[in-house]
Amino acid sequence: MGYESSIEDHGRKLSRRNALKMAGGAGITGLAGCSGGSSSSGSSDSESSEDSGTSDEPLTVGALYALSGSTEVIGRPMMNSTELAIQQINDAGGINGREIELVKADTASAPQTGIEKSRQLINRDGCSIVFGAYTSAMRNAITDIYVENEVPLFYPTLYEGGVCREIEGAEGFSGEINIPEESLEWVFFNGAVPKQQIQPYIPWLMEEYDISSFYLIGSDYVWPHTTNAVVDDFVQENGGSIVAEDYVPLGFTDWGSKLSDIQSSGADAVYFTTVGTSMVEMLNQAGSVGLIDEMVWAGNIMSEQEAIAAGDAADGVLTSAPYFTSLDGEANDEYISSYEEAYGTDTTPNFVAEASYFGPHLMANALTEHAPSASSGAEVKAALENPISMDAPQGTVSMDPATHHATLQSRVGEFDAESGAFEVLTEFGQIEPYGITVAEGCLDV
Amino acid sequence: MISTLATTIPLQLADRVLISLTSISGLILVASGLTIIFGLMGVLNLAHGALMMVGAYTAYAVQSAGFSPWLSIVIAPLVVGLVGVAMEVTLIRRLYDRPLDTLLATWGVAIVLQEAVTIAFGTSQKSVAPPMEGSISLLGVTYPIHWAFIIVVAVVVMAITIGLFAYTDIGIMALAVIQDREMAAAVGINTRVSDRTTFAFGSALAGLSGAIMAPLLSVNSTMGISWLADSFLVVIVGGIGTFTGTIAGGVLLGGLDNLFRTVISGYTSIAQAAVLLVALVIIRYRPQGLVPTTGGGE
Repeated sequence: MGYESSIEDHGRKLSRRNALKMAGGAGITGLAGCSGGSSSSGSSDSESSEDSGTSDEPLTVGALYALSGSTEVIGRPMMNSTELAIQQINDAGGINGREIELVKADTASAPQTGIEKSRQLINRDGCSIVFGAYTSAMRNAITDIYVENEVPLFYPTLYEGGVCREIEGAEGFSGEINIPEESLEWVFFNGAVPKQQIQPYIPWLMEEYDISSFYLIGSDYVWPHTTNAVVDDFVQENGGSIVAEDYVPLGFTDWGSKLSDIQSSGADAVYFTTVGTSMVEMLNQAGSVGLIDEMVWAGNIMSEQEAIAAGDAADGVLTSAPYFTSLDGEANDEYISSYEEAYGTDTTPNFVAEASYFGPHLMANALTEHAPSASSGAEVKAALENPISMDAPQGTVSMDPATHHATLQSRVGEFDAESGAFEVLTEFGQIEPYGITVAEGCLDV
Repeated sequence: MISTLATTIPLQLADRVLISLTSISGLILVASGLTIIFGLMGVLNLAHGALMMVGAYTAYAVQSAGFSPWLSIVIAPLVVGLVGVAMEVTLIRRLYDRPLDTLLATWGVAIVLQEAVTIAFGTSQKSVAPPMEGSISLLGVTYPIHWAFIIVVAVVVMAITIGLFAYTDIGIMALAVIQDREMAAAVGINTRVSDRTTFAFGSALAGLSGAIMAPLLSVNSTMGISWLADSFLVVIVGGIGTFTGTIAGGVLLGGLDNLFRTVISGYTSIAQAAVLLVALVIIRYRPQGLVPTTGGGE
C-alpha cells in the first residue's frame, strides 16, 4: 500500500533516488549471474543442475518480507502465511509430485536491503519466483531487479494502482493520479487497488448511513492521495460532497485540534486513509473525545491489527477490504486454524497476510495445470499468465493475465471491540481490478 | 478542498484552549526528564524517548497482568528509574567528560531497549487504558477526564521537581555536583551517589510521562523517537538547564503548533514546519533559549 514511503528506520532516511541507483547497479551484476536461468545458478546446494530440468527437481521459491524494522509487525504474518501455503502445497504432493523449496529473506524494512536480498534470492538461491515486498517504496526499489533477471515478483499488498494505466485516464475518471514509472511485466499483484474497495462501498455507505458529506483525512503520501481522488469521484457521482481533503504527516501523533476541525466541519462522515500508528492514535483520541460515536468513521485501510490496537475506540468503525479473519467458509477456517496451530496467536493475520497466503496457492495451481516442470522465471510467468481461479480464504479470486492484477472479493466490515474481529455487514462479490487506476488489457498478453 | 479558517465560536475557543493545554502539558511532561539529564547534567541522552517507551510498556504490562491503571502510573517510574540506574552504573558514569561518546552510547541503549521490548512483548501495537475513563465539564466543554488529568500531572510534576532542586538538601547537593564535581567532592558530597540519583530521577520522570501519555498513543517500540526530538527542541528552545525554561519552551512550541494548525487548518505539515522555523529564529537570536540559566558554573 506504499505506506511509509519514506520509512524512517532508526533515523536512517531512505532515499528512493539512492535506492533506484542501487537497483540500476544491481541489474548489471544480476544479469551476468543469471544468464542460464535459475537451475544453473552457482548456488552451493543446487544438486545435479546439469540434469536438464527433470520434473522431480524441486522448484525454488523466494519469500521476501520484513522480519525486522518498522514494518516487521506486518511482515511476520505475511512471511508466516507464505510459508504455511508452501508447506500445505508440499504436504498435498507439491506440483504434480514436485516439491517446492522455500528460501526466506528479511528486507529489514529497508529498500537497500530488499535490493540486496532480491539479488541473493535470484542469483545465489536460484529462485524462479519471489513472493514479497510490502510498501510501495520497497516494490518500487526492487522491481528493476526482477525485470532484468526475468523472474516474476508476486506482490501481495493493497496499493494505489496506476502502474498499469494509460496516461489518458480510464473510463471518464477525472481525478489526477500519480503514475509510478515501473515496468510491471514481471510483477503480479494480488492485493486490492482503490477501485475494488471503493466503487461499491461509497454508494452503499451514503445510502445505508444517510451520508451526504465526507471529511477526508489521510496520511500525506501517494496511496491516500490516490485513494481520496477515487473516493472524491464516487462521492460526487452519487450526489454527495467533500467538506475537506486533509493530510497529516506520517507518524502524526497529536490529534486534539485536528479532531476539533473535523467536529466543527459539519461533515456526516469521516473517511480516513491514515496509516499505521498514526491511525491508531487518531482512533484512540477520537474515541476519548466521543467523536467516534458522533459521526460515521469509514475507511479502507484499517485491518484487524490496527483495530485491535485501538481497542474500544475502534468499536463500530467501518472498513472495506477483500478479506476479514472472521469470514465463514472452509478455506478461511483452514487458513486460520492452520495458521494458529503453526504460529500461535502472537501475530494476527489480516488482508495482506491472506494475500501472501493465497498467492503461492494460485501459483501452484497455475503450474500444476499449465507447466508442471517449469523451472525458469519465464516459464513460471507464462504459466501465471493463464486465466486461473481458486477458492481463497476471502472467496473466489482469479488472476487477470492482461493486467497481472487479481479479481478480488469486496466487502464491508464493522469492528467489534469485544470479539476483536470484524462483523461483515455486506458483500459486494467479485470486483475486477481494471478501470480507474488499472487500464483494462494494458499488458496486451 | 480545504476547510477554511476555523470559525471560532466561544465554545470552540474553550475547546481549542483546553486541547492546546493538554498538548503543551504532554510536551512538558515528556521533556521534564530530559531537562534534568541533558539540561542539568549535560548528558546527551538519546535514550530519552526509549525510556519513555519503556514507561508506556510497563504501564501496559501492569494493566495486562490485571492491576489497576493507577498502579501502572506508580510502577512505571520505578521500573524506568531502575533502568536509569543500570544505565548510569554501566555506561554514563564513565562518559561524563565525553559528551560525543555519550551520544553513541545512549543511542545504542535506545536500540537495545527497543529490541528488548519487541522480544518481550512482540511487534504488535498495544493499547493502555487511562486511570479515569469518561468526561467532565470544563469551561462549558465536555472534556475527557484523562486529557485534563495530563494537565494536572504536568503542573504537579513541575512543581515538585522545581521544589526538589531549589529547597531540598538532595536537590541542592545534586546541583552542586553538576556545577563543580571536584569542589562538591571536596566538601564531602558523595558525587557518585548524587549523579546516580539525579540520573535515575530524570529517567523515572521519562517513565512516568510514558505511562501518563500511553492512553493517547499507540504503544510500540519506536514510539519514543518523535518524542525524543520534541523533548530536545523544548529543552533547547526553552533554555538548557532551567525548569522554567522547559515550561516556557513547552508553552511556546506546543501553543504555536496548535495555533498554527488551527489557523491554517488543512496544511498540517506547513503548520509544523512553521513551528520549527520559529524555533530556529529563537535559537539564532537567543542561543541560551527563552529562559537562560542564572548563576551557573559556566
